[in-house]
Amino acid sequence: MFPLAGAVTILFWLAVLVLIVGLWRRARLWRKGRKARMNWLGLLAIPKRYFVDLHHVVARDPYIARTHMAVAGGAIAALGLVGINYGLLLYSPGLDWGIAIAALIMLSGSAFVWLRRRNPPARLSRGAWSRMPYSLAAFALGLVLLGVISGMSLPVSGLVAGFAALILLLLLAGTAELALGIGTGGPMKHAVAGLLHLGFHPRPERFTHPSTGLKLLDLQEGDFGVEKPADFHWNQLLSFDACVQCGKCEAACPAFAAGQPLNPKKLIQDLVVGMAGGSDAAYAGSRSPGLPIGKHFGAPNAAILPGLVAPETLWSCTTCRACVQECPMLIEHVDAIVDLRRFETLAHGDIPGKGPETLANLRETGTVGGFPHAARAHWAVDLDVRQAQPGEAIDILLVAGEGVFDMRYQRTLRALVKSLKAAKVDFALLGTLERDTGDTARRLGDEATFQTLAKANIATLDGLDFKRIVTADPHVLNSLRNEYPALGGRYAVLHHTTLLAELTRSGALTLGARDDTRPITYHDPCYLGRYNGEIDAPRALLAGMGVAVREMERSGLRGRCCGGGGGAPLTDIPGKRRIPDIRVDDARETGAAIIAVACPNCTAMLEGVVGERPEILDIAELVAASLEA
Amino acid sequence: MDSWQLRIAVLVSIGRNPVSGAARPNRNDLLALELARKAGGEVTILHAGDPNEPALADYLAYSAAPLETIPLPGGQDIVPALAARLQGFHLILTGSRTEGGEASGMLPYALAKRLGLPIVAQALDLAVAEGQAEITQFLPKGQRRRVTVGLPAIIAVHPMAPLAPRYSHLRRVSGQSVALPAPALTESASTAWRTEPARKPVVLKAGEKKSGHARMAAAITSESKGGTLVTDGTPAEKAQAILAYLRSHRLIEF
Repeated sequence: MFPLAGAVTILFWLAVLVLIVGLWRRARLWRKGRKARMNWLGLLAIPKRYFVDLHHVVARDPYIARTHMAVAGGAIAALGLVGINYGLLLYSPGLDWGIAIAALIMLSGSAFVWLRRRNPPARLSRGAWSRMPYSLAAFALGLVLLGVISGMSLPVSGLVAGFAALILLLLLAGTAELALGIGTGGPMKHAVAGLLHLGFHPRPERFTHPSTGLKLLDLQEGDFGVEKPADFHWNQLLSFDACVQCGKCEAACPAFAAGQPLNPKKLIQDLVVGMAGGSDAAYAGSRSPGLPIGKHFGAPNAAILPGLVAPETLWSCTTCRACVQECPMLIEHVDAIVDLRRFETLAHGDIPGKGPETLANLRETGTVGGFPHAARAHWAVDLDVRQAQPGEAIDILLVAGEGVFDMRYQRTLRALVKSLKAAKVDFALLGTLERDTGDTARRLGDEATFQTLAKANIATLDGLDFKRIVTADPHVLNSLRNEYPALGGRYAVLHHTTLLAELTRSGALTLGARDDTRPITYHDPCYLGRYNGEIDAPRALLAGMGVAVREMERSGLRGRCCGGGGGAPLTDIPGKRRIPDIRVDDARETGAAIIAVACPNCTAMLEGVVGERPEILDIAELVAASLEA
Repeated sequence: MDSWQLRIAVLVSIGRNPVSGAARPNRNDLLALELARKAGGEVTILHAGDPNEPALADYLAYSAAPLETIPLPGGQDIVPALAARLQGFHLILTGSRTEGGEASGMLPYALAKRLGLPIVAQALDLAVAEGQAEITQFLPKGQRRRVTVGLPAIIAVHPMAPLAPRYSHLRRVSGQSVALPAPALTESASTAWRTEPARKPVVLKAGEKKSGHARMAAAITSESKGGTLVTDGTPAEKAQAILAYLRSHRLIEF
């Protein structure tokens, strides 16, 4: 038996060597990126992050979760045993049986990989990924045979020699896939890069609490975002390498569904191409709608736009984070997109559509639409609502957002005021003191304008005496709660649905039953749901009015975007359909006659759908109406 | 063309946002700057006024060209100082008028007179070749005219020039701005101008061509208020009827 065992030992150590050399080569590519704050302790957190955080996402698709457990679990157990038994020259038949059992589990998992790959969903990449069931099965089969033949300790014979040759051939094929993967950028690079990515994640705080706010850009230090792949932080480059091209992002992306030229998976793969240098010709997944494959080239120190990634791809994103929510490898697509947008905007000012006009408005008037501040409280002129003043203590400060200039959203704000008055809340408007939070500017990449506006707002807010801020605009909420702290503004910020639910619970507000019996569905705003995890308060309010919400297929944390975020309505990249049309179709499927919303942007986007459609009403309007009942 | 370098000066003023009144780059001058950028060559941005005005730096954001300021207090005649600095430029580009002050739009003409240079106003596009500038000029009713002028020349850009100036924060913070030596003060140029709040624009409305009796009758009865209903005829005939109406009410003059 020695020849086979010896050959396996040599193969094992050769594979380890190849893996290390490959990892070193790949790490050299990652290290072309910018320095990032390193926390080596992250490496210790890998098991928890893998088995809890990552598994939490993967388990949403139980089929592939179990398949992966069998394949990866079996492979790791078998490889560990091979390492002990053959790597350390023990050659114990007992361990051989262990190898056989672990490899058998892997083999069964490979069979399920093969089953899924027989008729794969469109989101899965083909190409090199299509050979995976075969190379995995070859490796597993080789290990099973190795375990059985060695475990039985058969005497040397021609048959055994033949088996030995077969085993070595199978193992060679499988080992090539595993060991060469990382160095050559093959599919198996995800195993090494994925684990390291968990350890050095660019947003490590997401493992302890939800973390969605954009990172502050140090403009004084001359940081203007990302122009070329080498401008990304090295751990971002590493994160791109973790991608398994499962296409969960693609399936969740509203822009992709609308036929706009954005496919998050392709974007990440393009960035991998940029990091390694070359073209996207080897990419074998669905394309960014309308853009050809094989015509994009990149290099670590070459500008990403427009040669590698088309500008329209960048500007199609609504920053809804559906891709991030679905990514089993925990890649931060939106951060990468905003990094790229920042350079386009800050260095070139190259924004399509109404973007430049909007940013000029924000710089010159502090409003998105170029409105006068004096008009900010016009919607409440007859409601006898206080305007916040320095030195006057109040309980709740109402920050209304850009919606004050929109006659549709003024109705929502008036309804909210009615409920607040009914509950005898001590509140005042930020009103004419308010400046835009800078949310739109920031999503469009204009960090300079965002910081200017944010600092102005913080100076105003710090001069006022209030306990909590309430807003009807989740974008305002997200800026104030998640992005202002980095600039020194720390406030308790509530969404109006949270406050109304709280008032209902405490008994300050009594909801009436609705006499309107039309069925209602609820559309989760991305910036309230995914960005801030608040999906219960609106539903509690609806339940309090006796409404049984007809949930859409994509709801809650996995809700589909209305198309109104990230400045996408301003850049207005053409597609085959409009995103709000798709969302209203979702609502129609539930048979709902009313779509309850909780965001001015969602209201505007969904109401912009032409033809017969459900009525769009903000939760605040439904609550105010129920008070009359 | 190797040794010859096209030198363009773009004259810029401080504009005002019509809503907030915030100082900003003048939109017309931005078009001139963008046209200069497109034409290529060595561009210099020139401003006469307060060199410490923060909005001036916004011009740097719109082009990579250096900004020079001739320090002059308000109310001074800027033509002599500008004319002195503008020696040696092949093209002098300006917007069509300022967004504040007198906004008379006279500066390019006054400069042309002082420097003895030809002026082409209402420019929409510009191409420079062989010591000449070819300009696409705006004319009303969608018409355009191509004009060729020998260099040096002054060109005033039309507000509707199809250009999209792009704001770059990076250029704003890395651009260079120089204050030139202050010229000797001349007599104040501001004449006896009287400032008053802008009046509401007159609404374009068809004048009633009815007698007092007819108007009274129309007010107290529910009769139709006149006019003709054109339902028959070809589209051309209907258009003719509309045209005749507009002419009879002096809403158009051709």
